[in-house]
Amino acid sequence: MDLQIALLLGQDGVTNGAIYALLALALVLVFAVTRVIFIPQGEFVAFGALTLASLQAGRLPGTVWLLLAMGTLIALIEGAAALRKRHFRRIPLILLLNCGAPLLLAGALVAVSSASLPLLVQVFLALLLVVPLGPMIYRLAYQPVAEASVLVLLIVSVAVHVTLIGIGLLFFGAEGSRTPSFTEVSFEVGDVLLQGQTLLVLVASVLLIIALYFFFERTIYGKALRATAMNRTGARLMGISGSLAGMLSFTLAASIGAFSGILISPITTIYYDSGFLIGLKGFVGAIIGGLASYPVAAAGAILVGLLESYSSFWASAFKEVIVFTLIIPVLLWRSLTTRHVEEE
Amino acid sequence: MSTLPEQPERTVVLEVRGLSVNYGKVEALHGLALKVHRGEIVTVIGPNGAGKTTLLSALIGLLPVRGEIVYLGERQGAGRSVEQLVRQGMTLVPEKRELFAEMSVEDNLLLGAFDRYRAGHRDHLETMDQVFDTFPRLMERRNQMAATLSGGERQMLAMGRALMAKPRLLLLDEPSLGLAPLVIKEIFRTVAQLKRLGVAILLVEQNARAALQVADYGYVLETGELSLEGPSSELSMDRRVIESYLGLGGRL
Amino acid sequence: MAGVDSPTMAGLAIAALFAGFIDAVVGGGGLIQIPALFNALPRELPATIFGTNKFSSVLGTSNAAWRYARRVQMPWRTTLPAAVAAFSCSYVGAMAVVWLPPAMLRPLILVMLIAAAAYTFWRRDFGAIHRPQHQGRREFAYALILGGAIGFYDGFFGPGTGSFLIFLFVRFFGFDFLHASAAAKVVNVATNLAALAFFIPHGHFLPMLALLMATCNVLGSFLGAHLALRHGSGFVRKTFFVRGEPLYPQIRARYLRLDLSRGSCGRTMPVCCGPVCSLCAPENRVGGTMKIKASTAGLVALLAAAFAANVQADINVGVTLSATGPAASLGIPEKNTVALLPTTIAGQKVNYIVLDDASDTTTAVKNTRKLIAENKVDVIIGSTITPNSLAMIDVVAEAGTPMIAMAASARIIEPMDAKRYWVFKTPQNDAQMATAIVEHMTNNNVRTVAYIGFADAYGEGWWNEFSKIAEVRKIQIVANERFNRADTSVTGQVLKILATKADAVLIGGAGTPAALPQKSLKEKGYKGIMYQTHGVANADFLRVCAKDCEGTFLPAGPVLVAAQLPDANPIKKAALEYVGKYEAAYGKGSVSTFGAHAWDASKLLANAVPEALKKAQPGTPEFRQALRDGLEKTRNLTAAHGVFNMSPQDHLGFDQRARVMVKVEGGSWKLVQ
Ligand SMILES: Nc1ncnc2c1ncn2[C@@H]1O[C@H](COP(=O)(O)OP(=O)(O)OP(=O)(O)O)[C@@H](O)[C@H]1O
Ligand SMILES: [Mg+2]
Repeated sequence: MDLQIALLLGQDGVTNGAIYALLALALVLVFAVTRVIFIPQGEFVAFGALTLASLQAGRLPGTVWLLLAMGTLIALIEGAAALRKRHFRRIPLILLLNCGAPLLLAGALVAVSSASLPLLVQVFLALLLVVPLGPMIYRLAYQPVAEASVLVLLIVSVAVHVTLIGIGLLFFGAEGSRTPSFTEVSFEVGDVLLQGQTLLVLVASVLLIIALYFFFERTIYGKALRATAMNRTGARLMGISGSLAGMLSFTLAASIGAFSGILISPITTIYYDSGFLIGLKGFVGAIIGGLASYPVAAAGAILVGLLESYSSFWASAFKEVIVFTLIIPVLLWRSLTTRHVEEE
Repeated sequence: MSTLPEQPERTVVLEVRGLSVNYGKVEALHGLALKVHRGEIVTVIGPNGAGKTTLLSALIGLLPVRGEIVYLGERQGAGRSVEQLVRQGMTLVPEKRELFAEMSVEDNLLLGAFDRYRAGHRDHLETMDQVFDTFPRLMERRNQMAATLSGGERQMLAMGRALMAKPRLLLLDEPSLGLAPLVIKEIFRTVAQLKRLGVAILLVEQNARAALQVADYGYVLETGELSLEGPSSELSMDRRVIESYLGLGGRL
Repeated sequence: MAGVDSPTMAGLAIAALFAGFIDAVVGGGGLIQIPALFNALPRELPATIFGTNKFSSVLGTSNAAWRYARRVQMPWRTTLPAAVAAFSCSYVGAMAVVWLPPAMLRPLILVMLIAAAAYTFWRRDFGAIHRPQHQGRREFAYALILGGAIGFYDGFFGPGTGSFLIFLFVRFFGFDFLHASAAAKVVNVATNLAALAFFIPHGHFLPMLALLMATCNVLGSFLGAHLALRHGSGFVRKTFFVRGEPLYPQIRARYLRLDLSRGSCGRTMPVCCGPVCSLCAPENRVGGTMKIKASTAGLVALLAAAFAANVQADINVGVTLSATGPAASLGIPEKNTVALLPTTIAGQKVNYIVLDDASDTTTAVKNTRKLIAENKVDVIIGSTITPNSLAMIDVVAEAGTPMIAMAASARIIEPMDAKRYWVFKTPQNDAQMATAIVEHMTNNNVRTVAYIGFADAYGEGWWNEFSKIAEVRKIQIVANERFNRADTSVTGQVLKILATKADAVLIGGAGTPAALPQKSLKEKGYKGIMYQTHGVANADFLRVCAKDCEGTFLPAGPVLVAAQLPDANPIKKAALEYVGKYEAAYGKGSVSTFGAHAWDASKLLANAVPEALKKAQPGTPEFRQALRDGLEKTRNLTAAHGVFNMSPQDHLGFDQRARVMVKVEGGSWKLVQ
């Protein structure tokens, strides 16, 4: 291996690692705020990528139906609750938000042929279709059991994961998809071509991570989320309700997932079930970060990406074996050294 | 009636009737009734484990209750929630303070105004200046992590954070706990100031002497039931109160 | 990950996560992991499952042991002899697993699992005070005997070992809970290592899966310990309904907390019900139950025969295929094709009972049993993929039902033996396809070639065939790389291939995943010839690969380019017939080669059934035997993929005519003349 190859591998590892890092951040966030171990995180990656691919192929993405169905369900639940509490004034808003907006989106997609739209508009539409699924899933699956134990929430997560995988197969079929590159630029490194897209992934992930940093450090909503993670009762007393924080963190997680999916779909083929393994690697990063530290989680995720990249060069047949073998000691080490916060 | 000049002053902010609270099968509060008016300081005193903290937690919606709670003229139904009550101007300074340990003093204060911010008010910076005026100590330590504050500073922060919400009804759970006399004085001075601004205050205290001094009206809570009540000046003369809560001071 | 598909893996990963979590909080994770493994891998030997399970849990146990050793004064005088005895006995226990026939083992495991679950569930509190008893020689002897006994148990089975050890240390040596836990963990590590020392060298171990599960197990235990520590005993109380009276509240609170941090705790655990029940799945019903079923079936058949001797029964064809799951892109066209198959053969009505096995081996086996036992099918077509088809062989052979597989691997029909006697298949062997590629390479002056294939049975199978043939033809293989279907990047492999400057690259993958290396190679500037295998011959591959696949060569069944075949080729007519029917039903351009394997299977049947009908009634063992014999006698039968000439040794019967070389040109398949 010469330096050039080493650099290319490093670049590849960091690119993948950056995606894992994004997912790790989302996992840490969701866990810290809601205590949910968000196994379906990866599904948002797949849904984001496949929705964009459907749009580009001029097909109506199945996610529209999911959005409509979940919106209607939520409208029914919330509407019934509003009726019971005699808050009639809220009903139009509930309907508009949960049914009207998805209907409008669906109508727009039927009316214009999405294949001919500019790429950025398609990306925007894909995000509009996938991101709301996050808070909707929170509302339907997690909010009713928000006070339950972590184990119950974990079981709910597994159920949601399995359901989403099934729905993904139904909507997108078993075959994978790939979307065209955002940029055709490529650089020659020695006698190997380096795609601009891979650099774009890296830059975009880093930018997103920085944006998240600013969100958490500089905005009152970001601080509210952190506050909920630190002290749930304290946050509630400030009027930061658990469901608000839950919705917000799930929206962020869904955005991060969908955005990652859209970023990587030009450099790899995404299948309806690709999400789980990608998410698992993010999860490893999150655990390395003790489900609490964002920087360590991100660093852990990048480490996973690098390990993968170099081991696929050295011994591709044993890639996963090498990666997992090397990760286990790190995990053990972390589990032995992490200072657990004893009951406050 | 309308001729009475103090009528607006006497608006009832909170009225409780037949309030009972259970922890599982154990009843912690039984059939409580109390009233707090606008611009009034009402204190609840009682021995350890009487249920004072339970009362405040129940009022703010952290615990489910039986009985009737009327807040701002509106009867609270089963669907009441902490968030909703906070939106309506009820604020609790809890016994455990519940600060955001790994955030700066400034951020803790900022989050005190979260609900007002969400409702569209953008005056949190001015409010923060007022809080800093009241507690200059917090100003000095504005960038320090809440977890590293001293005990007294934490209390100030908890209090300051509550003030950020510009409450209409402020529930205070032992604000003087573990504080130096000088600071206690400062805290009670702030409470009195709030009263003048028209805030209704429900004050739970171990330090009965100080509480009765500042309060207009008082209740004595013993093992989950109210045993005595009356204007605080009368209460501080009561023999039982003197014996049990004011120590030997009355006799000597 | 040879043989284990991704949903199964994901399921097992989740199971391991739970197991680790539960282990850390209350103990008894094995009660989740073992049934999950048995259920997911019905074809693996119990020894392999135990080996994999042990590996995945040994790390968690060592982790816990180490934590104890740091904080607790270890009672080595008792622990060490126990550990040594446990080590040797555990090794013997592991040997016993291999030695006992699986048919005996499975029901035994079920019983033990229930017992262990019950024990974990009903365990009481004990051991609050450390009061060592049995000093001296007696203690030593006890340690040896008890350590040995539990060691054997752990090597042989496992779940609950930790709690048994704790119980014994408390009961017989008067340790308190903390010291007992510490000692138990040390002994447990010894037994785990011993079992692994036997299982791994004997190949009873699925490395990839074990590692994945170990990772998840550690993740889970980390999570569990983390939460337990953070939320204290209240968390455990909330997680599981902890019974037990507050005898020594303080001490208990302390040891509970301490113990939680270390990975196991003697508490109740009402979670064993689900997994235990799932072990009772049909796959595991053995021995007695089967016999009763068989004899009942026999009785029913006898009665039916007596009453309805004159009524002609329909022919029942059972189909199990992978219409969902990772192989859905192959299974769906097959399913579509089954809908087009003739409903009468030789005047006899034919019923098709189609089941979906979701690309899952367990389900395929279950389907096969169901088709045979409930639907009384005369022949089974399926499954779509090799692992499923291999797993079905035992079942059809046992029941004496002929089976026609639609999966590619030659292992399904080779080497011929008593079981494969019943098994036929319609897709071409990889060897035939590989020969075509090598011929094409030789003709195009390819001297060096790099191989990159799936890290599973498909990629491995192609590597074996291709490397053998290439060596004979003096083509030098300069790289041999692997990738996973689910990989998101193959940059490492591609850089390595680029560095070899190979004249050509062969990609041993199927379906759209095979596009990833090809696209990466193109993106990185590779200029040589690229070959794919027939596994990519569907429209989705062209869609995903798009312009990067222009000029790629692959071998395929002639049906892929039916219209371009010369008129003289008899296959052209047969293939066009299929293409016509399929496209008439499902639209222009919808046809793929995979569905044609189902079509060809029905051709084989149509050819063999008339003879068999002369010999026996459908629904009888005689008919199935006759049908099998008829299939084996197939001669010169032209079908969509080639011409069948079966023999007792060759249950496929294809020759050269069954494959052509195809080139991707202008986004479609072109026959290479
Ligand atoms: N979560 C709980 N579960 C069960 N019992 C509780 C709970 N919280 C409080 N209690 C009990 O309810 C009673 C009242 O407690 P509370 O905290 O309200 O007392 P207090 O008057 O605030 O005492 P102090 O002056 O010491 O703060 C006590 O006996 C206490 O042990
Ligand atoms: Mg209290």
